[in-house]
Amino acid sequence: MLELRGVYLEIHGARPLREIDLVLDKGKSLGVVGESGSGKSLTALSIMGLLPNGAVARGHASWKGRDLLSLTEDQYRAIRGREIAMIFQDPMSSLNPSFTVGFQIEEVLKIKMGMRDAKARLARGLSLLKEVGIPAPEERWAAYPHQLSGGMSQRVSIAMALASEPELLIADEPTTALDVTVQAQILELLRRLIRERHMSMIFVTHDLAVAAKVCDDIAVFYAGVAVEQGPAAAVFADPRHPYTQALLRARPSKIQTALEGRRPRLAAIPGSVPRSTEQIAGCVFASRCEKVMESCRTQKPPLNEVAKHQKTRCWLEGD
Amino acid sequence: MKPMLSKIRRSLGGPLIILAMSLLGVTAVFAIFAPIIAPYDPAQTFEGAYSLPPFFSDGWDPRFLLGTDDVGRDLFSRLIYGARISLLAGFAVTVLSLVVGVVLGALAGWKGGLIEAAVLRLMDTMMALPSILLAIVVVTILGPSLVNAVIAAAVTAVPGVVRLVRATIREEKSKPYSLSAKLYGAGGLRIVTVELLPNSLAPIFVQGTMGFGEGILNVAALGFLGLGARPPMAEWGTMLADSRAYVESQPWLVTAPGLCILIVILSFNLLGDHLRDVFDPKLKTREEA
Repeated sequence: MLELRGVYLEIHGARPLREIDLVLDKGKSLGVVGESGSGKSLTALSIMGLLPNGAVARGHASWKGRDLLSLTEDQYRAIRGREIAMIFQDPMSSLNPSFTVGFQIEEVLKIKMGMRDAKARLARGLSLLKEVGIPAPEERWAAYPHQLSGGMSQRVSIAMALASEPELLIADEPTTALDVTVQAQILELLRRLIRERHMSMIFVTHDLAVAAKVCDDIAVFYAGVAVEQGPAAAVFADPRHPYTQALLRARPSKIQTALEGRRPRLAAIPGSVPRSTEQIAGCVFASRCEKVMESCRTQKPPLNEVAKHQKTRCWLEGD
Repeated sequence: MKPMLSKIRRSLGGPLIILAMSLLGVTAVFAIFAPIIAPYDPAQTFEGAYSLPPFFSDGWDPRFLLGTDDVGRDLFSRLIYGARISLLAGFAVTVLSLVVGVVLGALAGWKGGLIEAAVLRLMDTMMALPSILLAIVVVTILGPSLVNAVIAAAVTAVPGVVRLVRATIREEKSKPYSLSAKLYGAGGLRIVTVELLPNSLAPIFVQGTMGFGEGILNVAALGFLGLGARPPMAEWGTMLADSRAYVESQPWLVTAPGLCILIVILSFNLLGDHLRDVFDPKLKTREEA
């Protein structure tokens, strides 16, 4: 349904997205994981056509057969917030502080769904709030965002996103700003909504455990490159890209603590991430990869299918 | 209801704020009901009643509470009508500078790039000139009159508003809800006016209150310099200038309009300071959390 092939992004001479490949089928959820600055959020914004001024995305991105990157602003408006909705990281500032919850949901129903009848909007809005698990929605309807807790605000944001009955929901670190118990509730809510509404979801996070819990597929980003994508179980059990392998090794785990006895030590990846302004001829991970070869430094690795639905951008795979 | 009460109490502030608001209230009542309150027309001269002293001096005339000036006009009446002119002038300066400043500031903050640079450099240039000098230049071009003094005072107030509005719009623009509005299909103009501006109102409101006082002061200063209201108009600054010559023989003629200006400006500044505290978002969350 959504496919990105070789998408890259340039802004002020930097290239924060170098080569992004993603495939997402209907009703599936895709977890996009990576460090800060690996291009997760920018990829989400590219799909939404909400790039900052001066940024140009190129490559191939198709949504239900349409080429997203060549859409005009007017054409984009018909998709954005309608077929594809998005929720953001900080729930406290993603709602407009000047307007009530009800007003903001009604706006979406009015503009995106063309609902003219105020009573119908109210009924629909309340049922949306109920659906996202807000107790006493009638009372919350007239509340202002600052009167809500973080978890509650995020639920309202989700309700707003659902108001337009999107086919794809992009969640950009929706639980990062929340505490752990609320986080679990929101994750459960998102999972339920995906299932019940047969929506697709792109879930951007830096938390591998969260991604594993919520998503069918996982895409691993490094320095603006989607280095590996595959079913969550496969990626975690049998990571093929050296970066994914190193990343998984760097997770704290009980097993590791037990093995190393009194002084558990976390594995780390030596070196640091290349800057987005750096020109890299070969693989972006070459400078830190323990299995680096001659070809890694000079030529870009191709995207190889290494197992069923599992793809990686690495010279080690393939022939 | 409790938070509501404490909100009202907090917005009232201390006794100083209540005093300032009362003084402004009295001034406003004087201004609005000037023809009813003032015993005489401000331009009416009384023959034989020249330079009469106010009530606390010997030889005062019960008809003229605050005495008369050198051509026999009732000082009290003139001060009351002066309140009308000053408040109106201050209001006009504030509205004018806010309208122009908000439009330019929002444009610069929203659009960014070349437009922002152009607007800001223009404002920097205006700010590089002393405000009274700038006002004098404007009045010199337009010719001296009360209306032109108001325009001149407004021009000098615009840069401050522009910079303030640009900064707040930029800040609001960077928050996700602005992106969210775009997501749900709002156009640029709608996002700025409906989504961002209401959230930028607090500092604009504070600036407006401060600007009100400054506007009155600038208009009075221009009047004093003979570039604003023309005599015999009962404008405080002009009255001050007219009675300059008698500062030694009849000091109250100079003192009275000066005091009026002082009290009104001080009240506006106190109120503005206080409003800034009330609108401080940090205080707000602390209370309502």
